[in-house]
Amino acid sequence: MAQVNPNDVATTCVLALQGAIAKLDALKQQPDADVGQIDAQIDALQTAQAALRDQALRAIEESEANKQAIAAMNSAAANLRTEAAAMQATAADLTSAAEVVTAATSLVAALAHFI
Amino acid sequence: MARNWILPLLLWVTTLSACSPYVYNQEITGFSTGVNAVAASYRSGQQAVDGIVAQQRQAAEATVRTRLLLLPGCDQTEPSGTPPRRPECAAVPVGAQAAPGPTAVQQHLADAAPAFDALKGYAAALAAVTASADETALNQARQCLTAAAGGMALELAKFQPAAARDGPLLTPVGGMLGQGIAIWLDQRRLAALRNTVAAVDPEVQALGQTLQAALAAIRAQQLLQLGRDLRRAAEPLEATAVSRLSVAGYQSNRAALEVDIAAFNHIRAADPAATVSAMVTAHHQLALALQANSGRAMAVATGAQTFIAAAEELKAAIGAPATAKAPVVARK
Repeated sequence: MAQVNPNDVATTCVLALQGAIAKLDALKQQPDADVGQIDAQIDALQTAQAALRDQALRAIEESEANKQAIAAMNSAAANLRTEAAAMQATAADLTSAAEVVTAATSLVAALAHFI
Repeated sequence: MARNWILPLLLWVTTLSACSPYVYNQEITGFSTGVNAVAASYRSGQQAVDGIVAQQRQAAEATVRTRLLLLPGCDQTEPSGTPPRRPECAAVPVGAQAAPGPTAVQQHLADAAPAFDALKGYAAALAAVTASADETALNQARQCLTAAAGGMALELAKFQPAAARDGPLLTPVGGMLGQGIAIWLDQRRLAALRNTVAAVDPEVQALGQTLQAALAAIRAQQLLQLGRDLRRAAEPLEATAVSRLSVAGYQSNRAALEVDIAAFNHIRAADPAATVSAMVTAHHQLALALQANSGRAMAVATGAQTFIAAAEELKAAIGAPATAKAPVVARK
């Protein structure tokens, strides 16, 4: 079955409504036009456009693909954070190693008098 | 004796230095900056929609002069109950027990938060892997090791003159060891990035749909409200009786209309689809570059820059105070 993208569907419908709004706008140019009435109809169509965007959002949020993607991204982020922490720890370990060598040097220097 | 292992070590580090990988620090920082801007657009857009809903409710109440009462919570100054909490304080229509809940649109926008948070967390984790925090620690450690190894060589030479021969070689060993570990860490960084970025590339595309839908819904709500403001502001000037307006009245209406037109055009310029498309492309190019391991790819840098620019434009448009105007009075 072909994948349907709700965003694309909503965009197509919004553009279709925009065509209807453009026709209503053209009516405003007529000398006896009831601008208030036309504006009310335009408002209704624009409300429908906003509702379509909301429906697309709802459809996507409820999809399995969205839920799986969120879980996968959270898991990947956790793994990366673990890796970053391990690298940070390696750097800290190296600092500790340097301190050990420094301490050993001091020990050798101290013992040198007895050798 | 020490020469037996010092020379191969120096050779190993020198060889590794030649193939130290490029880990896309700049590009990943750019991707993360863009994602943060998109998430900020969502948050500020959500607040703008909350403002629109509150304005519409207040306008509807003003139209019919709804009698209001303060909730009992407004008399409670300290938290109470288990767990302790401050009871809600709001002005509600008489008979209502609580402030009105979120509208369907507000609820759907709130439900999109996990998608934005997941992407933001991922971008931050990518940046953490390439961050220079461990590099700074490594540089310090390298300096300590160099000094310590040099000191050790000097001490050894004092009571074993034969070791003095190896002194000049032993001294840089500490620094070289640190450098070797830094290069090894870069290899590890690259491996982690290569595996993860490619694996989640389809997920970034899937989440892109959610982001686009949420941002488009915010934009639609803002445009709906601004369109109403615009038509209301144009009413006096569109009327056939416009010639009866005084010059000052005409100018004042015209100035108000221009403000509304500017606000409408500002939000209309927001393009969530283009921004999300730039984000998906930037991530995909990063995945391809990491797989090919071809070093700094121009496409990745350009993709990240395009994404940042689009995300900042979106943030500027959606984050504008579209509702920070006088309360709207509902039509009768």
